Amino acid sequence: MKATKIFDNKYQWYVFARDPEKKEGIIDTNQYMIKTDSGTMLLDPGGIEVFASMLTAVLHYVNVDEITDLFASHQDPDIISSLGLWEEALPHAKLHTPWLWEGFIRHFGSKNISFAPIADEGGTVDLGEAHLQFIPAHYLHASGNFHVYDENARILFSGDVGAALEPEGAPMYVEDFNEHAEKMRLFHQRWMPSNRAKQDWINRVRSLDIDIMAPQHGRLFKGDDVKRFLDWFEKLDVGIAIA
Amino acid sequence: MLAKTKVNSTESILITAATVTAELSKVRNIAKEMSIAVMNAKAISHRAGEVALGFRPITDFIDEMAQDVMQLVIKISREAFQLSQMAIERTHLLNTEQQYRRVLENAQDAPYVDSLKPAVERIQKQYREYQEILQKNIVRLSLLLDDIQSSTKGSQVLSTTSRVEASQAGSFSSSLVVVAENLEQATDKIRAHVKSSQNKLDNVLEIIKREKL
Repeated sequence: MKATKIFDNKYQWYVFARDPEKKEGIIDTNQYMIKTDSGTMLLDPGGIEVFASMLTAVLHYVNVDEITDLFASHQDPDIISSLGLWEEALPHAKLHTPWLWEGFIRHFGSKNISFAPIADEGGTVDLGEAHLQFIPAHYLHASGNFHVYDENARILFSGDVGAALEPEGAPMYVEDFNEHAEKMRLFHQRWMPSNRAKQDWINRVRSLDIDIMAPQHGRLFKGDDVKRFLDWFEKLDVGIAIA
Repeated sequence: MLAKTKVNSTESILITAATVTAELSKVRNIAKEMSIAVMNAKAISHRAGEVALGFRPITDFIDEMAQDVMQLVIKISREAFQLSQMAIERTHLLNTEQQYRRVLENAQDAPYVDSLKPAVERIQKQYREYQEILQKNIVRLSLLLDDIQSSTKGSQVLSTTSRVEASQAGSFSSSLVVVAENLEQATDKIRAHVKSSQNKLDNVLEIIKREKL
């Protein structure tokens, strides 16, 4: 699995993606890791199918017992179905996840891990030098959903918002926004159910200072492409499956 | 190949546990029928009066045996369910161990690969513990099945005695003879179901004993 460092100043952000061992028919996912001197967090650590590749990649950057926190933006299998496999190696780690999904996520073979449920209005957690905010993103697409904002790194981990379904080996960053927008259109129109929720999220995110918007599928947005995305998303009508 | 055998052994445990539960369900039904037949026999011997006095303690004994069997069935079914749960948890450990070993092979050049080794050792230790507990649980299940066999052991003698007592019950004799015959058939069926369950448990125990990580 390809690892890319996207921030490095006192602590690091990594994205792990484009797994060449991924089985056909399984959606490609971006897993993230924030490594600090006093703790490491995996964000949306992925499904069972990518577990071995993901852990192999992680071991190039951190001792497994230094992973102190997991974050699951919502309950989907591509986000966190690997939980039962991770927890055998991380008996003391904490899982931050929407309170709404705790009982559901426990179905992924979880026995020992400590849950840190996130209230609907969000919250914060300090991971060494990184001060992380859990930004509400309910109904985008899951009914309980959070993104993670790092004010110091100016990175917004945006879960399924900004996701695109692309062929294997796509670049890590958006290069031509207009061209990329077409790859995101159906995903957002079909997976995101609510225009009201979309607008609420856009209003909240416009107030954040963001250098990189990092979704869980597809490419990352850098610099002006973040604003371009927000403008594009604002105009997009979502929830189109209702006849 | 060995891993595949282990997964198949989990299937064997699950199938065995389900089969034992199904066999015990039949045992419970037979015991229930015995219990109802005994109530009937009690009524007949009551109507028969003095001539069937010797039959009454026999009906009490059969009733007690049927109740014992039904209680044991509940207990064994619960244990069989726990056995299935444990087999599933063991499979999870097995899958995890396989995934971790794959990581150890693929991450040989990773600077932090050694940090995974204690977790692998922990899983292997847990797996061995599960193996031991599984074996103990299967043996315990088999011993509980022995208890059913013991409860029904005296039924043949009882059946002979029942026939003798039934024959002295005058005009009620034929009805009570039927009860005595049914008792013998019912306990034979119970013993056959229990024996079949024990054979399946013996087989699965042998499969588990042969496995090593």
